[in-house]
Order: sequence, then C-alpha cells, then structure tokens
Amino acid sequence: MNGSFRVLVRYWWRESRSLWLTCAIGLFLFCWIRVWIISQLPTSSFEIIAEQLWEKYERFSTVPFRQLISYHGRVALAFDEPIILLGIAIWAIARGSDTVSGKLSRGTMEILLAQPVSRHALYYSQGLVTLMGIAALVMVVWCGIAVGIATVKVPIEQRPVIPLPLPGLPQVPVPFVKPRIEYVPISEKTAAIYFLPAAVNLGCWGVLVAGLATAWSACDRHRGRTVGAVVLFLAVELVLRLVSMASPAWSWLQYFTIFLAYDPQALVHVAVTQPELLWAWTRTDLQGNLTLGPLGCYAVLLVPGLFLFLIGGWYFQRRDLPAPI
Amino acid sequence: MSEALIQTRGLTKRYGPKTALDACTLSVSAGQIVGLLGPNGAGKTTLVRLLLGYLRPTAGQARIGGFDSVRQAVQVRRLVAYLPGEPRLFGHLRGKEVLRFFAALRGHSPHKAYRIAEQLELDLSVRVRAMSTGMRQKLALAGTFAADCPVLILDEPTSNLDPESRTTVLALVRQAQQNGATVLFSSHVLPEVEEISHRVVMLREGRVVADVSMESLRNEYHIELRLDRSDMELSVPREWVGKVRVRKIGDQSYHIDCGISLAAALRWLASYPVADVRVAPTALRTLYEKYFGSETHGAT
Repeated sequence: MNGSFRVLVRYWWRESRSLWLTCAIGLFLFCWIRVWIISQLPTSSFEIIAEQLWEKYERFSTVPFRQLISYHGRVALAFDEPIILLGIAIWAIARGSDTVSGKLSRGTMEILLAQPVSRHALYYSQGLVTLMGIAALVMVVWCGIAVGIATVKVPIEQRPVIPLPLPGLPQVPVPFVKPRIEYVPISEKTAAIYFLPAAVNLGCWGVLVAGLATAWSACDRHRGRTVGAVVLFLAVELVLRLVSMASPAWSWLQYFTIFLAYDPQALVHVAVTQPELLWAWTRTDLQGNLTLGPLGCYAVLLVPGLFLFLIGGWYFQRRDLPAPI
Repeated sequence: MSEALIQTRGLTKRYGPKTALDACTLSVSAGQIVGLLGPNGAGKTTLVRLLLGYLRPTAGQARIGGFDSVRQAVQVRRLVAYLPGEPRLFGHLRGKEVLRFFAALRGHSPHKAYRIAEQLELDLSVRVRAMSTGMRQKLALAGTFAADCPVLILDEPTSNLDPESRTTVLALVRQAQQNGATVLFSSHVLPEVEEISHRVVMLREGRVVADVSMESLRNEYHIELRLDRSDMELSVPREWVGKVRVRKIGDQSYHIDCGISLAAALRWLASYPVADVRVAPTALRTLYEKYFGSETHGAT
C-alpha cells in the first residue's frame, strides 16, 4: 500500500464511520435482543404452533422441523430477519454507490482526481473500506448473537423426580405434579460457534450486493439511479426466490436468484448435525437432492461479487468523467 | 522560450455527432502564462479535461511534461495543480482538514496552504458545508497554489471572489510564473487575462481560432477616421494587404485595424482629406469581439 492509497483509505473510513457505527450498533443490539426474545417464548409453545403450520409451510424451509424448534434453529432465524439483511445492505449499497456515481453527482470526483492519485487507487481504496466494513459488520452480528447466548437464560420446565431405591435405575419424573420452571443459560442449549458459517454466508451476500452497487456506480453518473437499480435487483431476486419456493412448477426460478446461495439456517443445521460437511462444496438436502454445501454457498456469492468489483474497476479506468452536473 | 511543457496534437473529442474539440494543436512553453478564451461551450473545459486525462480523446493526443495524459495520468497530475471551474469540496470537513488531506495526497506539509489561505483571509476553522461560494473558491485556490507544481491549470480562478482577493490571486499567478511555473487559465474577465497573460488562445466551436502573443497584440492599434468628402473611398496599398484591414462604419467613417507602424499609417492617411482621426491600441476586447462578435456573453 503506497502513501496516497493509505491516505485515501483513512479518508474514506473517516467519511463513512458514522454510517458504519450506526449499522453496527443497530445490528449488535438487534442480535442480542433477538436472542433474548427467544428466551421469552418457551420452545414448547413454539412447537405447538409450528407443528400445526408445518405441513403448509414446509416447502418454505430448507431445514427439518426439529431444527426450527430447537434453540439453534430459532437463533439461526435471526439471519433471515429483514433488519439484519437491511443493515448489511444499507452499508454495502451506500458505500458501493458512492464509489464513482456518488462522487460524480456531488462533484467531488473532479477535485479528487486533480490530485496525483490513480483511478485504480481511488476505486480500490473505497472497495477495501467497503469490504472491511462488511467483514466487521458480520463480526458484529456474530458477536451480538454470541453475547446474547452468553448472557440470556431460558426457562426450562422441570418435573420433580422420584429416586428409585435400587442402585443403577433412572430417576422417574412425576407426571401429575405441576412442573417447576428453571432458568438455565441458553449457552447450555446452543453455542455461538454454530452460527459462524451463517455469519460468513451473510458476509458473502453483502460482498455480492456491494460488488453490484460498486460496479453499477462505476458506469453511472447519478447515485440515485445506482441505488434504485440495486434495490430493484434485490427486490426482483427476492420475489423469484419466494415464487420458486411456493410452487414446484416454478422451482427452476431458484437458479436465477442469489438467495439460493444465502441459506444461513441450512448452514447452522450443517454446523450442528454434520460438522464434517462444513468445508464441502455440495451436500444433499432434505429431499435427497444435491444442493450447495457451505463452501458452494460462499463461492456462489463471493466470486461474482468480487468479479463485479473488478469489472467496475476496469470500466472506471477507461470511462470519461463528465463535468459536475 | 524553452521546450513545450504542454502539447496537444490534433486533439479531438466527439460526443456522437457533436464535436466538443476539433483537432486542437497547441504548444505551451515552460514559464508562459496562457489565457484560454471563448464563449460558453467553445471547448475550453473539454480541452482542460482532456489534458488532465478525465476524458479520453477521440483522436490526437495530449502531453504534459512529456507524459501522455491518458496512459500516464498520474505522472501528469503530479506535474499539474488544477483548479476546477466550480470546485466542489468535502462538505463534512473543515477548511484546515481539506488542505491537510490535499497535502497528504501530495506528500507535502500543509503549512504553505495555510499561509495562502491566510493571505486570502479565509477562516479555516469553518466546515466546508457552511462556507460561501467565495470561501470555497479561496479554499480550493489555497490547495492549488500550495501544490508547488510546474504546471497550473486554473479554470476561472477569480470567479466568485471579491476585488481584493482577485488582486491577491493574480499576484499568486504572477509569483508562480516567476518561480518557473507554466500557467494555463481560462477566464471570462478580459482585463485580467490581458493583464497577466503572455499569450491568448481563443476557442470557438471546438476550434482554435486565434493564438496571439500579448506582446504582438500590444503593438497593434486601430484608427477611427472620418473623411471630409463623401465621394472618396479609402484604398489599402497592395503591400499592406493582410496587415491593414479597413471597415466602413458610416458614410464617411472608417475603422482601420493596423499591423504596421503608426508613422507609415499616418503618412498613408495624410493623402486623404481627413476631418477627424482617433488612434487607440487594440485591446483584447477588440480581438475578442472580432472573433466572437455578439457571442460575448459572459465576457466582462
């Protein structure tokens, strides 16, 4: 890293740190509170509701019903919460769209390129800050969950037991006595480490969104248009994903959506039940079909994301920079 | 004069059917101050943006200090301090922080920039977003003049400034030139260009229509003349064709642009019955009006 690159990286961080801090605080608190909310709803009640609805909604899930009512599964659901995705998307789109079209819209590109810095340095220094920001936000999300798991206690129903007089025989719970509620740390039911693959998956999704926003920004001169285009793309992708899951006739649509590779619940399921598959490119799903393994999910999001960054850099190097509007 | 520091050869920029700059060939020697003139849309900004590598030429090439403006843009920008026409700075920073940022990118200390800002009476503790247009212009000027580059490209450096600051800026341009810098600057304020330029280049519809040295311009003059008789017409001696241009502006009145010695011109006119004669040096405005006529909007 040469001197001007370092100066630029420092400057971009300074310019964007308030946005990053806002996203980070919001995500951390949300994840923590999300784990606490789980502690407020006993698994048994959740089980009754889920059992009744499972037949109808099974096709919307990529994990078995047992996982959904477990503490791993319920915590993993946090990764599908719109707030988590929104927090990452806000950072990725805000930084990505600012890279070129934002600076052209505001007119600051003119004065920046009047300095002895290459277009590459200008572009990739911002890309670095964007990617580091995503990585740090994902760590914050995981930390929020880890802190939640470390601090929250969950209610467990305990029935009194009758110790049988003979040695070696198990203790028998008394069925007709009202159960006692005991609070045990949620860390006894699940562990923060199980959620690392899901956090990495979230980071890869963020890289793809940032890559798309940055590449579009490199080709455009209006930041508003860049933001609009990326948001529209995400909305269409989400609709495709929902339609592909809702009807078997439309299931082929899943191959046209980036959300196919964003499957944090499945990754948590793999981490809990088949940790040996954590470094697999493919795996078999509940129906026995071959599907993306953890590495496959990361790669499908990460490779196009980084490729989009490179495409944008290539185009920015060659394009005309119009006078400020 | 020494070798050309800024050089363009057949530099052309087209946007679809529109030609913004048409085969511009220009050579500026080290240490010159060159004024770039032309009405809005004449191609001045396009020329500057091509020189700095912001735009890629459709044809031709631009070089500064021997470096190609497109392929060696960073080396070019190391040699050039550029002041954009409407400098847009970073709203969230204070004036001092902006100058520190620019200095850090060039690997300089910001103290020279602080001194220039002080000369321009600029308060550096104010955030850019709270500054007036004139204050922002001063801030950008401080950053530009502090860069200590061999080439200065200034796009309307005195617009938005009060008269006192204009004087300071012109003094800074002169001082930079005395320190060996080459200055290319565009302006609509003709007396300013006239005051400090060694040379003036005029652009019209993307073409260079005039490239004159101020020294030769100062040796030119024009004569306003009224004859006593209406049955006589002025005729230019054959050997002066091209150097003397006569334009009839009334029944017996003439406007004569002279590129010959005043004594010779007066001897020639002595053979006519002259009722009234006025001699004046050719000002830049006259030259500007000659090329742009009614298109002088913006020029003051």
